[in-house]
Amino acid sequence: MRRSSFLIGGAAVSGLATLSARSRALAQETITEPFANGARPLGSFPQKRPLIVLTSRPPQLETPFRLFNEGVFTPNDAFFVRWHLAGIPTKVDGRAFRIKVHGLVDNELALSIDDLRRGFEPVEIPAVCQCSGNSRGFFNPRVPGGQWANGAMGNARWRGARLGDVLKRAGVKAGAVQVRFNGLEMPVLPTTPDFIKALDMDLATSPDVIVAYEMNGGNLPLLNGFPVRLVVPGYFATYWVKMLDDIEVIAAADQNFWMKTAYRIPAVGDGCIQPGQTTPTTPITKMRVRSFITSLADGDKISGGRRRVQGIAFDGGSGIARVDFSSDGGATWTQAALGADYGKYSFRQWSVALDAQAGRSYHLACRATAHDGAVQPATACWTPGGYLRNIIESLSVSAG
Amino acid sequence: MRNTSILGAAACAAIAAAALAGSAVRAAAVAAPPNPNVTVSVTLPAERQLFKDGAGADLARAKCQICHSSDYVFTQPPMTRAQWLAEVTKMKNVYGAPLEESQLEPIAAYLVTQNGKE
Ligand code: HEC
Repeated sequence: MRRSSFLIGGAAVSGLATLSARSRALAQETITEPFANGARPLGSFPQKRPLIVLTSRPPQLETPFRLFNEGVFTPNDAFFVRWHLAGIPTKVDGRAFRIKVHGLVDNELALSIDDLRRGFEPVEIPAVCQCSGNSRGFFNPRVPGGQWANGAMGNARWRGARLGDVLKRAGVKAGAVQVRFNGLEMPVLPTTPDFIKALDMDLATSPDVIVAYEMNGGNLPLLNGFPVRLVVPGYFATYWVKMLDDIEVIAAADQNFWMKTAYRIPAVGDGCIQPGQTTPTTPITKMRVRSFITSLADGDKISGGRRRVQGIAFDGGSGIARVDFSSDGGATWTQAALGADYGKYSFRQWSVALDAQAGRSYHLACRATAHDGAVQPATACWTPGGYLRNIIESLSVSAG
Repeated sequence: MRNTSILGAAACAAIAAAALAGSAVRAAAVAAPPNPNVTVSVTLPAERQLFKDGAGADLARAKCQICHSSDYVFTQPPMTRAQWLAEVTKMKNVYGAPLEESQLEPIAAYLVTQNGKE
């Protein structure tokens, strides 16, 4: 569970090695995550500050973790980027953009962004958007896929029209089972399945699911889905379809690849299994409760004395009830103070006092409890897809 | 802002909560006013070609950079020949990579030389 105990090329990485890797990042524009093949360039992509590059085509960019300490909302230019298919437009005309609503509806619609803004009651929801594969690089044994550290997540204020209101305008016919979503993202070759996601009718028409045209009070960056993306608070980002231009009401559960084969978790127990075990699967849905220390990184040297340790916590939509903090590797815990409450889908900041004595090392850990009673586990969840990691995070610092 | 706040003993928790709220408000106030009626046009940076010379390199360069950049291969954990064969086979069967059956093994063998393990 300690980040410092992972192996790179057979050699144990000490906290000091992690620290020097981070300092090198500043000088050479690379960052080294604490797992094998964790070296990543920092890249300059449009409308973005330098972010960690996993793949450049399609762009898959991770937020450097220290940025999560700067505020409860993740700035648009720091927000992670994840596309599946490299056929994404590099030019999008927001005025000409139309969202087609069709399928099992009384009236087909072709909505402009102005229609969405003016024709429907605007709602604003702070919500965490987290990639299903966030933290996949920490899986043991490792699994193929996007090799993210912990920065494939972000928290933003999303403003838009309720999907339920849009569907009401179209008039959903009897027999509707799911709503299917497609965006401008296209495969390079027609042999690759187009990226399409679907939600059950009751979730699609629930009041918090929105078609968002604003992010943190501004336009969405193109790489985050300008001009509109679906926002499904509490659910993993796979459902938050970007550049959303097609909403289709369908009469049977969607059978396309990205629902039927990909983004699935074991349909047993809590979804976590032993490596090698095979089980029936079910689509991934809500996020699990997580928390992180953001004000310190593994291997940091701190000065002796009293200091504030700060972090974030979130879950899949019940909200954070409490965060406990340990400075002795989980032997004893003290309750942290929670920061301002921006709603049940948002990051919740927390902080706690740490009395550090010069010459000592501290193994820090944080453990969040959600309002639905879920608590972060002490052992790592393993899934074949590299999903659902929510272990109690820990790191070591030494006081000098 | 990290590591800068050293707070007095008694007031620590209360001040911490207030400070958290303050930082949240500052962060929330950043983005430019929204105007969706614009055309956004971007240029994406050039990608890196990471496949090194060696037997099979031509095949990998021709086939494994059609749909995505080569960094997808190099950010994966080191994999065995069997694991790479499974990946290459997945690219053909699942994503429709234009590969002949006879090309799967040679590409897997090459990938082990690029990012492999026993
Ligand atoms: C027809 C298009 C296509 C071709 C050609 C292709 N890939 Fe992929 N590859 C994909 C797609 C699509 C994904 C990612 C899907 C996603 O985002 O989840 C992917 C993902 C990957 C990944 C990440 C791990 C995973 O399984 O998702 C690796 C590694 C990879 N490809 C290697 C290769 C290699 C090696 C080749 C050459 C033999 C190749 N690809 C050729 C479409 C292709």
